[in-house]
Amino acid sequence: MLRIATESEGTPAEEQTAFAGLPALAALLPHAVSPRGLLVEWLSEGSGSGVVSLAARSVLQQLEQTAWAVIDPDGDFFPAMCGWSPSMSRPLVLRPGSAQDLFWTVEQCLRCPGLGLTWCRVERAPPLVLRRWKLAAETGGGTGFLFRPASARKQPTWADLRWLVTTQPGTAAGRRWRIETLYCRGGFSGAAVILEQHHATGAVRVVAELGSATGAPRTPQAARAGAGAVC
Amino acid sequence: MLHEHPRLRGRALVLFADAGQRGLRVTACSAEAAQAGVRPGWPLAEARAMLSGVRSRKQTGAAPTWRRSDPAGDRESLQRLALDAQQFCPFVGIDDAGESLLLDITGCAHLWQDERGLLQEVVTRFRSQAYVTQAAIADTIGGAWGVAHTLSKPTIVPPGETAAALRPLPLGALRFPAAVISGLQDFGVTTVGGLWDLPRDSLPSRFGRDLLRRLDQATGKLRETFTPERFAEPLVEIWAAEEPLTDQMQLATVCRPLLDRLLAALTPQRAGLLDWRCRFETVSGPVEWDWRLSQPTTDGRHLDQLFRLRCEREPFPHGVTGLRIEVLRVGLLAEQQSTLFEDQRDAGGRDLLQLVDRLASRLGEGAVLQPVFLPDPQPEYSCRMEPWTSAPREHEFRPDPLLARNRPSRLLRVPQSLEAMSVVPDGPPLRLFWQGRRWNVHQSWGPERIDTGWWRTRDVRRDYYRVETEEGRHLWLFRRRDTSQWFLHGFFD
Repeated sequence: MLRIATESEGTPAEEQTAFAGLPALAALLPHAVSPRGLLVEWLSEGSGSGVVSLAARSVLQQLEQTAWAVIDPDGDFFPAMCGWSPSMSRPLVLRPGSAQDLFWTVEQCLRCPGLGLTWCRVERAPPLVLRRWKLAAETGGGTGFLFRPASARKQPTWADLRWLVTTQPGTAAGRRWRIETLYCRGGFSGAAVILEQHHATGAVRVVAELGSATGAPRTPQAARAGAGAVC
Repeated sequence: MLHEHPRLRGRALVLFADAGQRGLRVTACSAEAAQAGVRPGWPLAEARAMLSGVRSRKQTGAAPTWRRSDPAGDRESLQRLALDAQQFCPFVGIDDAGESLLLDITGCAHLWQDERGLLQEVVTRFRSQAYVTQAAIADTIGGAWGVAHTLSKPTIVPPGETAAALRPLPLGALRFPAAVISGLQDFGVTTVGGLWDLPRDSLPSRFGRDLLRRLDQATGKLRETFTPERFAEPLVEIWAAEEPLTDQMQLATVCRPLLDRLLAALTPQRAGLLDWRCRFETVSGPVEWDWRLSQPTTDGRHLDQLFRLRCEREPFPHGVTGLRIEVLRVGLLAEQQSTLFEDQRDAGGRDLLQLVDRLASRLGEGAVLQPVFLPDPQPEYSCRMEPWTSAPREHEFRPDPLLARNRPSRLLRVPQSLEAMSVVPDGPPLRLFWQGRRWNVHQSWGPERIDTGWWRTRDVRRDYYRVETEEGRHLWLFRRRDTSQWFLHGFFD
């Protein structure tokens, strides 16, 4: 009876796949990934890289359906991304005062079933803390996004997924990034794609890569996403 | 007062109070005094002149009575009435202004056959005690208040029709301050319906944020609660020891049974703890901790967790010899689980509120925030972070779609000065010097000119540019038009 009831409830989070807002990113992964209990690291170099904007775009549907928290130790978070959708829920903004409080806050948020997404910019986190975060995410069933500097790629991680976002010179129409999968639990890494976000509409599309014999390896799924397709 | 002093009936009675530099003013008056022309707010001397003139003309009737108003006494009288009204329903409270009784009649109407029977019984009861009674039943506190204060006849607003019932009523039905009503009347708005027809987004900047709160409370979009007067005696649990306790965990162990006893006292009343205070007697003096919860709770484990988190944040330097826990505010518990398998969304909402309580206990209320957008063109004032527990206003969160395109995701609290080069004096920057290195601008968008802030300390005259460096980073800069200095204000992260 319990099984029947659980199946019939069919919560929306169970039906979703991660990065539903950007299919091109999901296509880089070797298999479909559920957002439940997912811990993702976004590595980028310096301020103004646009990685937050890109990450938010990839989970726009999640931000509309569930509560989300932003851990903002520096106190400079501005909820501009909330303008993307009129139905986006109000974020819970947390400002811990110390590193210990930051670690504890992220863990508490990840452990809470009421939060769909936990969002944090963190430069350094001990492996033990990262392990606790991963376990907390599995317990809570939400998604955790950690924004870290590119230098963190040399450090070990307990995250399920690690993206490297590299900014590229944009065009008059929009800004560009190269996104590479550094690590994916249960699969290979190294797949990359170049995305462009239109300034006016905010739409993100895959940039066509003209024939280059030395281009980064791409997965068949990424190739199927199609050049120029709007995500 | 008329009820306690029957001999004053039929006489002109005027209550007054000291209004500071404005002197003595009339705060309230009886029907007889009002008939003579006296109105609340008048100078006392003017009221005296008015009533003495009337009396000399008529040469009849008793002399008017003048009494200094006693707000505390009024409140006590109303509390007695509230306790008396508990014969109709268990939850009876007093409104914010301290003038009206609020009765939560959920599940009680059938005891008087229906709502009409209950309303009639309440009115009859108070009228038998010589009170002038106006009463109404509606879906919301705001709706019932508005109808009761506007219509002299006892009224029942059918379920779901509160908004329609309020629409033709005057603005005073929504509990606005007099200044707001006056301001709206200057715009030609005289009824609640007229106010609803105005663009909602423009109202807070003109008439204050309370206006929307009152509007939404009346229609039920914003939940409104009141504190029942049932607990006239404070709910307190006390613990004392001969030897001071120095271990925080021992303290938490002592606290738990006290909390359990307090919760046990609340549970039969269908009430939960909202605000509570711990007063510690320590070797170095008393220390008080206050908690303000997001929702009423009877969960002892949750409260114990909050206590332990606070202990981690603020450990006592000295031992504790005594502990006093006092309930400051209680609230009605949300509906209990009605099905075998709980709705995941309800459970998620409850988990979130409990998380907020835990975070506030450890980090402090000032670190658990929610953004509130304000119609201010100056970027640093366009969004304010407010404590999450202060006012949950989910329905008011309607960000401007232009935000996502024109505003950065990180806004520096204090703009950072930097050097920039332009080809033309007021043109966009072509090269930046920041963080000790040179940045070439690949492309830029702007300017977005902002001239504002003259009503604050000084004029703000800025030209904002969004620039993209050769590396692809997007920065938000502005040039002060008065000094031509460049500043970095944010990052499009």
